[in-house]
Formats: sequence, C-alpha cells, structure tokens
Amino acid sequence: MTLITDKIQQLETPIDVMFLMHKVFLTQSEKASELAKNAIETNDLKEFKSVLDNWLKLLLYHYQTEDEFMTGPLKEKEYHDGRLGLRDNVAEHDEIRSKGDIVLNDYQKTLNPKNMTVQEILEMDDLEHLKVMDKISAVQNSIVEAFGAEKLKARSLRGLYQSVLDLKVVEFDHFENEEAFVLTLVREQMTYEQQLQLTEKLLFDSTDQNENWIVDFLFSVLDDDESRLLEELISEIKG
Amino acid sequence: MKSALEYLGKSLTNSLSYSSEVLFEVGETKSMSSFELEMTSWAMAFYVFSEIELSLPILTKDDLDEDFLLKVSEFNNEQLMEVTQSVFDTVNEEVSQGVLIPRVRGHILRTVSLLNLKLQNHLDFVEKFRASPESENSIQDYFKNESEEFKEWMIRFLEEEDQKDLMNQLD
Ligand SMILES: [Fe+2]
Ligand SMILES: [Fe+2]
Repeated sequence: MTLITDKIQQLETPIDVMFLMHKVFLTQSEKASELAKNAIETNDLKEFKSVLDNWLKLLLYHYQTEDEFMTGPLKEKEYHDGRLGLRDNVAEHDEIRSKGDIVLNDYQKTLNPKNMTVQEILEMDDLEHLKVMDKISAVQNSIVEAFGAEKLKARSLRGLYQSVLDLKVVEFDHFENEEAFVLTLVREQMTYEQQLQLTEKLLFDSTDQNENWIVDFLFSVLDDDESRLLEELISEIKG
Repeated sequence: MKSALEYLGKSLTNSLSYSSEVLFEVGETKSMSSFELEMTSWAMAFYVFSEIELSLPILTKDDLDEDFLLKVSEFNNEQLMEVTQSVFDTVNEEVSQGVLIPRVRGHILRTVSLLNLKLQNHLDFVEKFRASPESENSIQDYFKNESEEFKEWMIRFLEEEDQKDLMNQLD
C-alpha cells in the first residue's frame, strides 16, 4: 500500500496508475481531516468545504468508473480467507459513498447547529432503552437553550471531524484491499491493451466539459518524478 | 478553587491528545506498550471522574427534569466506558506482536478520537447540569478516604500546573 510519504518509482503495468491516484486521494483526505480538526478551534470551514467537494467528486467518479469498467468485466475470485475480491470491492465503494453522505450531512449541521435534534445533541442513539422517548420533543427547546449557540456549534464541528475521520479510515482500508485483491485480478485477466483502455477511463472524464479535470488535479499534487510517470502513461494512452 | 472534576476533565482531554501523539511515534521513539500504558491511566482517571460526577446532584433547567438528565448522564458514562473498552479491543484484536501497521493505526486513532468527542460533549453536559462540586464535595473530601498511593497516582496524572495547585490544596 502506498502511503502519502512513499515515493512511487515506476509503473510496471498501466493499472499501476492506481498507486498514483490513490496517493493523491489520500493527500486530499489528510487535508480535509486537518482542516476539519482546525475548524473546531477556528470555526472556519471555508477551505474545508472546497477540499471536501473536490475530494468527494474525485472519489465518486473513481468508484463509478471502477464498478463499471474494472470490477464489472473481471471474473470473481474467492481468496483463502473467504474474501470475494470483486463483490467486497463494490460493497466498500457503497460504504464509502454513504460515509461521504454522512460527512455532507454533518457539514450541514454545522451551518445551523440549533436545528440539531435532541438525539443528535445528546448522542443518545438508544432512546427506547432509556425510556425517555416521550420527553424528547418536549425538551428540544430547553436543551438548545441550555447549551447555547457556541457549545452547539462546537459539538457539530466535533461531529463533523469524526465523520471525516471515519471516511478517511474506510477509504484507506479500501485502497489497501483494492491494491492487494483487485489489481492482482486486473493484471491476471486484462491484457496490456485492455488495461490502457481502463486507465484512460480512470484518468479522463468524457462526460465532463473539461475531460482533463482529473489529470489536471493529479498533476497539481504529484511531484516532478511522479508527474513524469503519469505523462509517459498518458502519451501511451493518447498515442 | 478548582474542583476535582475540573482538574480531571482537563487532564483527561489532554491525556487523549497525548495518547494520539504516542500512537504516531509507535515504531519510532515509542512502543505499543507505552500507548497501552497511557490508555490504562486514562481509563483509571476516567473511572474516578465518573464516580465523582455521578455522586453530584443534578441541576434541573426548564423542562429538563432530574429523571431525564440523570438518564442522559448515566448513558454518557456508559458510552464512554464502552468506547474506552473498544480502544483496548482494537489493540488486542488488531495489533500483532507490538507491530503497528498504518491501517491499524488508523483504526485506533479513529476510536481514540471518538472517545475524545464523547468526552468533550460530556464535559459540556457536566458543566451545565451537575452542581458545582465545591459546595457539595471538595477535593479534600474526595481524597479523604483514598490511599496515599492513589493520591500520588492522581497527582501524577494531572498536568504540571494542576499538580502543584492540587498538592497545595491537599496539604
Ligand atoms: Fe481505485
Ligand atoms: Fe476503488
């Protein structure tokens, strides 16, 4: 698994572009979680929101393309620990999509924390067990009043940071699994030419007015040596 | 004069941040057992915090009656204990032979962070809905029945400036 601090030295097959891409995505999640953490002190989420939007846009495009053009055409393989390479990969994509929705939802809460429900404010997920159900709506105003705007805001920001962290963790685990279990299948089952076609889909978004938005972003993050690897691959794809 | 809860609340928060820092150093200057040691101290200190908190009267406000607030408080304390346990569970289940791989580091950090979130939220609750311990239960009272050993451990757990402060009070 490639860490943010690791340097990628070469791409042996076209699908190794995944290492470059995953690394760039991880830098975004790192940045987003740092900004969400700082916001607990500063209250400032402006930069966070633009990093978050960018990060989610990259992930959503990436997963949709993988589901369709990578795991879609491959043949399933059951690993010795019972893991099904393709099925689990698709399930992880779904999990990350729903974690992404939770982050967006938690971001909305920070904009108007007074609108949080008592349940959200007090984090009592198991209300049934507490036998306080009938109280909940009655105490809404008192709870909001008692904590005050400032504490509620801090509460919502802490919640946001935690959901970003959750997303970051499942994303990291997913990249590691995909690199270990799915890329192996790609190398086994796809020819060099097929890999180049898949790589083209991953790097260029033909549905967008600017089909280069993904590569432009990759270049903005990668260092010179890694950019050169990407340039070489692109000229092979386009050549 | 500061109350035992205030001393502990602040130190509990700082201790969790420190534990996260230790986790980043595991494999370099720190070992996995130093993290576990930090967390064990944390769990002990939280237990003390929880005991003191649950012994204090509830401050009711508007529609928020004692029964409701008591349930919230107990629930928060249970949750905090559970998340503390899940930090240890993650360590036991996922760390093998003291080697911390990046994936597992992420899992532990996420749980420590969740613990921190629940603690901070609960500290807000305590501040709003528990009677000030000074009037009911001063720190001297609390320590009256405790052993010297326990007092020393408690003082060591606190931040440096609080240590001096507390020692003066206990003298
Ligand atoms: Fe991928
Ligand atoms: Fe993926």
